[in-house]
Amino acid sequence: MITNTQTLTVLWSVNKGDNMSNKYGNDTDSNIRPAGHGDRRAFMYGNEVVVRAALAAKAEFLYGYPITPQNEIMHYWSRLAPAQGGKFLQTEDELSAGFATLGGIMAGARSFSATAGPGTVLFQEPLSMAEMMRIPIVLIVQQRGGPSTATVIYSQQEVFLAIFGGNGEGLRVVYSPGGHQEMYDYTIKAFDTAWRYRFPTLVLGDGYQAKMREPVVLYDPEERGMQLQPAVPFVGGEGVPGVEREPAHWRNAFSVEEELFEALQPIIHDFQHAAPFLTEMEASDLEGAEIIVTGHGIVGRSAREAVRELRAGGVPAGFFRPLTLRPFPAKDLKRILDSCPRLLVVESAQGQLTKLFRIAIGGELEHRVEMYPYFRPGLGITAEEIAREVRAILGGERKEEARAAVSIL
Amino acid sequence: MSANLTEQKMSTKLKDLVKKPQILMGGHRMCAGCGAPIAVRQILLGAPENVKLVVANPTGCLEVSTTIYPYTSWNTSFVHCAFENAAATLSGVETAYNSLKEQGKIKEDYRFIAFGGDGGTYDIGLQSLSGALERGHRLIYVCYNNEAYMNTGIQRSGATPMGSWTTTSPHGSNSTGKKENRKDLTAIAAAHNIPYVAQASISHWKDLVRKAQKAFAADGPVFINVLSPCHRGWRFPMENTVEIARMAVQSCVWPLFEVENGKWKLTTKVPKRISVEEYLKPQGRFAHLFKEKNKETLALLQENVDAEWEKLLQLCGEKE
Repeated sequence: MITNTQTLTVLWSVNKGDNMSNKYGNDTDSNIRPAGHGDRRAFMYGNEVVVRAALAAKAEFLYGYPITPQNEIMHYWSRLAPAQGGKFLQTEDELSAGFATLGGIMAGARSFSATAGPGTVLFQEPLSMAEMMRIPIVLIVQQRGGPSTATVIYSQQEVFLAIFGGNGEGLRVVYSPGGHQEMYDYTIKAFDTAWRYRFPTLVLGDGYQAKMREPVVLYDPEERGMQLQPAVPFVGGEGVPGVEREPAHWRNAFSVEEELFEALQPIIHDFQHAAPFLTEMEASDLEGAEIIVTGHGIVGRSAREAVRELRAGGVPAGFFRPLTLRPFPAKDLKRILDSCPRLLVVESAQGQLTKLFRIAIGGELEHRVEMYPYFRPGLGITAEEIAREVRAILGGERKEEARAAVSIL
Repeated sequence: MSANLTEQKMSTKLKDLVKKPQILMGGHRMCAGCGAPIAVRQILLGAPENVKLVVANPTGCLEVSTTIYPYTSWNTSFVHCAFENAAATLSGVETAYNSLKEQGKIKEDYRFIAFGGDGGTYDIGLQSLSGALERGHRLIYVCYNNEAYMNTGIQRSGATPMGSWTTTSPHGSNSTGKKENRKDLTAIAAAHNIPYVAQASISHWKDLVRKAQKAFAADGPVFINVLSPCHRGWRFPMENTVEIARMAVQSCVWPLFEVENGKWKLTTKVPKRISVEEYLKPQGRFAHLFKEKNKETLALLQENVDAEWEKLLQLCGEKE
């Protein structure tokens, strides 16, 4: 983290002559103020929050390619990072950005990338290679509407892409933050998770979070007692390979089916064993709840607010939000649904989150749980419309539609 | 093939050109003073009257500003594809057309033309462009080159000149802007040995229209690289777009030439050459180069342009 605000002022003023400082704001615009214990309080764009978090996590290298709505991650990084020795490389597309990031990581630099929409699609090849080779890549995804170019604005349509988009088994960690503070916290955490467990780790934001300004507390993770897993080179160790040490041999190509099968087993084993340490969720208002309202990311925030309003109006609604979409907090969910088997899933996609819920619930419980969908692919969702929907469900108005919508997922 | 291009030469007289129907109509939402629609219109002025067109456009300023649904500025068939695949999309359209034509299901003559920005052409779209040129489809690929990713917020591209400020090549205490030279995409296209390759500028409309006419006459792939200044990204007053483009030609930063069936030819001579410095001076993206500490980069830019110009003169047989 940059603690010297003067350095920043100098950095920002460099471009005074070209009007760009007006567009992106300078450090004063972001209104960074001391907040005690070395923390600083700020009011800034989500894309800037990502950059501040990456710098706080001592990231060294960003590889990227322009795609809205994550562009400002590259802009802020290429302005702020050099003061900390950070480097930036713009490639000719996302395939290259992804593989260049993997190269940086194998060389021992704490590297990351950021993308969105069609860029996330092109990122699948490097991501699935990283899964197989256990390369700890961090990727920030600011979701936009699909398919293909679609909108540059917002959606939650990249959930399956983030988890299962590659040719492989989807052995990735996917965080879904719901606001700038979480964006900061989980971007820092992603750098630890990726290197600690050595699985690709994605922070799944969206266009709204990227382009919105919100208050956030910036802190140095070390000052809070967090020891981030160090980045170490994958190759070029001390000694003669094959004689004084094992050769560094990272594979992603296999000659026969059995070989691939065998190579995958320890990776799957590791992922399954890491899962209980990785899953995170948020829940509230569960007591006496007659319906659980759920959503992820920024929609989860609307869901939380809807539940607060409903409770204030005497409607017994509860709230659940998965913070990790992969691995999924299935255990917590089952426990909650066991006592309240009615669920409203709200998402800015046509059932991608709902599918994750169905997989997680599974078994005997699935027949008991009444699942109501509220799908608004590509649209923002307000607390008011969620509260309205809950009232309609509890009034018995939605049963038929819900069955039809969920059955064709 | 080579005979065709010159035999079918049509009029480039202004009084004839103004009578031609407009294909990119007014009312689009490109910035006032943008070079791209000028490039597109000058290219389309070269279209023969007896053919129909299919225009393909990868994502970029031109596409997002001319096709805001339910409106369109294109008075012709138009395909929008993804960012990296305009040439591939047109390859598909052209092969289907050939087949339908052979089967007698289409009677009219069609021409296929792509307009890509430098991001979609120099960088992410280069693979599909090279593939299309190599396969020999009869299509025209026009790069409206504004030397950065303007649509996403002025990031550097493979076409951005050395020393230029962009949002991803900022200048400061450790940086003089973009470190690398731009790639010579026109020469890369020429290396595909296709019937016609040209480099043009919106400032030299007669030269550009003539090149477009040759492009439509060519019986195979064509690539035209048109310099189309962007005042937002280059940082100059919007009324100076054409003037800045002219200065690029006069300073030999953007020489105008063509490669017709392998023969290089300088199409616009530069009798009164100006210095690179003179060309860079009015552009805010190079303002930092005029600080004392960046003088070296300025000198290096002039050296590079001199060397490339010499090379080009030799290729074009202007110099032994």
